[in-house]
Amino acid sequence: MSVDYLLLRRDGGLWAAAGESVRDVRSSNGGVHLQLAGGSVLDADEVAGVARDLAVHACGAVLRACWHEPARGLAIYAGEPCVVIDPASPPRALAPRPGAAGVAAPPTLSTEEKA
Amino acid sequence: MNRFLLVRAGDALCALPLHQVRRVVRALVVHALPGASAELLGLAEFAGEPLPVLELARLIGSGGDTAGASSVTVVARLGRAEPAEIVGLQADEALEIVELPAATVTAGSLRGVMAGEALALGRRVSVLDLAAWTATA
Repeated sequence: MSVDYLLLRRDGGLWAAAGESVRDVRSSNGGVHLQLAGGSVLDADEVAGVARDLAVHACGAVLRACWHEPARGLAIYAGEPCVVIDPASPPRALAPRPGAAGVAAPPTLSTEEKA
Repeated sequence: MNRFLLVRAGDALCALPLHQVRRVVRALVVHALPGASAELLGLAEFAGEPLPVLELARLIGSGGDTAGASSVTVVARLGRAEPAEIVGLQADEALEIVELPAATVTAGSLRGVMAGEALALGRRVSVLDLAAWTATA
């Protein structure tokens, strides 16, 4: 079964969210505001792309010793490393910016509408 | 006889067990990872796979903060099993391969990744063991 991923960029870093876990994507304050299936919300600077079937590698012992954020794993997108988000426990680096939630502009993309 | 790759990180010399060294390449482009500890510079792409990259000087407690100055990345493997976990070590230069008899490696000031100290090229060098470090980290 193929899995689509939404690639997100924030503060220069690249993150991947499984498409099935994304309920809604809206433009917000010059960036994008995402709602995940579990109810979590994320803010990113931009949607960097969509990828199908990223090869997801488990986070190894070195990464776990030095970085304590939850993640499903790591992958490469267009030659750049990215962190694959655990939708049940999103990283703090993608936490909504203060004042960003609830002020979303009209939707630019809804995964439910696409389906 | 144990063979090591000598690497310079700032003012410090480090000896990496040669069997843990997979490749030495020009310094990889590293993408910072928010929330990472100081020694983890971030992630890079190597051979099509994501690679955690550490700053060697910080790893051995010899300062660091040389962001952008590293000229090589030592791609090292942890353990002998396949597939082994690999990690990148940013350093200033890879010098040469030396042989250090086990009897010449002393405990020295053990901390973190350091497995001991020895003399090489007329200088004291930190002997590293990445596998042991991750096992206790």
